[in-house]
Amino acid sequence: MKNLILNVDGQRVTVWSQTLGDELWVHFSGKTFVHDMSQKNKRKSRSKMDGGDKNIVAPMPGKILAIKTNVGDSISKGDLVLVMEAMKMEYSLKATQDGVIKSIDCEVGDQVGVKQLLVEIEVSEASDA
Amino acid sequence: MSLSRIEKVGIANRGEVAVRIIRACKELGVTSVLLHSEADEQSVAYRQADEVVCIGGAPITNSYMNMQAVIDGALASGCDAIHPGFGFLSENAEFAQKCIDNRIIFIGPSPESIALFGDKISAKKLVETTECPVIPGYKGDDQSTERLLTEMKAIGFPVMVKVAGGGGGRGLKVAYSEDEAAAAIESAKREGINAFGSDKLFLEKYLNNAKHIEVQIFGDCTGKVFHLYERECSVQRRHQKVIEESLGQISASLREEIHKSAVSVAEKAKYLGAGTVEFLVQDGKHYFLEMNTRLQVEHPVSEMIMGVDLVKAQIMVAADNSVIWNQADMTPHGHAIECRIYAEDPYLGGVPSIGRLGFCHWPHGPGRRYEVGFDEGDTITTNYDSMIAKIIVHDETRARAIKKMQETLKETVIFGLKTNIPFLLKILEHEEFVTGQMTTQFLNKHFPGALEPTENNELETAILTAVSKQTVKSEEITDDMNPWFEV
Repeated sequence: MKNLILNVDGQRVTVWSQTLGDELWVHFSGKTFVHDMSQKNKRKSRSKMDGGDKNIVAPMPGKILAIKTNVGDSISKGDLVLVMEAMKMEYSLKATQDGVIKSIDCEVGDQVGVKQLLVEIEVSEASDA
Repeated sequence: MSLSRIEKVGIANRGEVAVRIIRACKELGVTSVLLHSEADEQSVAYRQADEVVCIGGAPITNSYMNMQAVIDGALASGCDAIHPGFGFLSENAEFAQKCIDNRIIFIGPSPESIALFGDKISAKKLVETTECPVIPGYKGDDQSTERLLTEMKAIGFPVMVKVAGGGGGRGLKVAYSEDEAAAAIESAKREGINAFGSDKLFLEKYLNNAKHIEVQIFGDCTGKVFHLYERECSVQRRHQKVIEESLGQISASLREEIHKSAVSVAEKAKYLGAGTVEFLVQDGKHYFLEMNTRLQVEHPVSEMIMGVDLVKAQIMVAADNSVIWNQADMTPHGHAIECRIYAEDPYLGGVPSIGRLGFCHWPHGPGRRYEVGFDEGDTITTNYDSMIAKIIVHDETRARAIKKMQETLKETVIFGLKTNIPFLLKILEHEEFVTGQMTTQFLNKHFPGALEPTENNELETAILTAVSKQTVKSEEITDDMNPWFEV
């Protein structure tokens, strides 16, 4: 593959990029970025977008070890939502936004698949602004 | 070069180490046979090996840890030797014996050596007969407070006071100075009686801020033991090493003592082949931790500064061909650093990122070395650990090697899966690492959680928009473009 040379705002940048399925991967200046193009249509309505990446989804297949919140709980960005085990290691899944737990879609002991929705979070208006 | 005793080597491993062994075999004129699981056909090793034999299903108990399956695969393909790599069956005395029983050369030490060092108690007993220091402690029957205090002073503070029957941190006290000693004994005894019905105490030196230093040793088939200087692996998480380097950041006098200790242990055990004696180093003193009776993941940093090939040396001594080294001539040159590249999400605290690798670019340059196990189109699965590759750099000084590693990591491109490269870059610029002060507490202390994602700056956003416009059909571009995620 060949890299692109771009001139952006007078700066010369060497860029690598590749489309993989719905994802566009880009690398420049020592950093890699990914852009999920399948999310685009869902994003047209802002109300739907709020839920988008704020929910807790399984980053990989594994087992739910503990659920640290209840439906209706207010949570802040960084709060521990649940603990799962994958490849013999424990991972803490944390809230990425302030909000309220809307639903819990898994139980302790469940085997879950990659990208499976585990906890739905309603993002508070303040943090969305 | 021909090795009369070894003509065909079975490789009982996978990933980047299998590739490393295949290349050593090729250079020695030996045929390589990859003994692989069903899950590993998409790998560099599978494509590079002279022959491949599938020994079983993806779960390690069906393949890489199944002794009979490995032996059967080796026998069926006519191997006269097996290289176990590291992990899996590499430190299994029973497996080494099984190889011998099947008239296959096990490329590694004797089953007796593996068993000796595999058992903590027998290893410590052996080490205590050498000049090599072990972590000082007291497990005697005299439990009087006076005796315990005397022993604590002899051990040197800080001292860990443990209840004999305790576990999981219960009944564990640390006395940082003589002033705290009596109180620690009293409280541990009290807790011991309440929780376990016994007030018998063990004392052990508390190493709360130690460096991990390990010496590469190598036993020749003539019985001579070489040391190839030391590596430092203090940057570790959950006992998993992340960045390794050689030489270690220790004083020249301590270095000499540690090498002597390591050689005395290996000589006492009549050790054959590559091995590593691990130490904890605190306050200028070193203490034996354990001996690994195999090749280490981080062996390339030693190879870079010593100018040797450890894997070829392993195969040669297994075939009774002596190495051509002379300890007096073995001097280290410059500094080498290794980073392990894992498919994982640093912004999620290192959750493995599984799936198929997209485009990968390993940018070559002077002093850069890549040990690549998986490349574009290969799949990282949940069956095994998620290491994609190792990147090793070598330069004249440590500061230059750090800079070279930073530039190499920045130029390296891996698409399709998230990697720990952003995390490695953060470590490499941390002051405690740069100054060489880091201990095994380094990651827990400075990087306890996931990396905080950073906002893309204006220039980055402009570049990303420009790339999207070239890649995505124009009608799909809207002002409400999705955010980009740095990975």
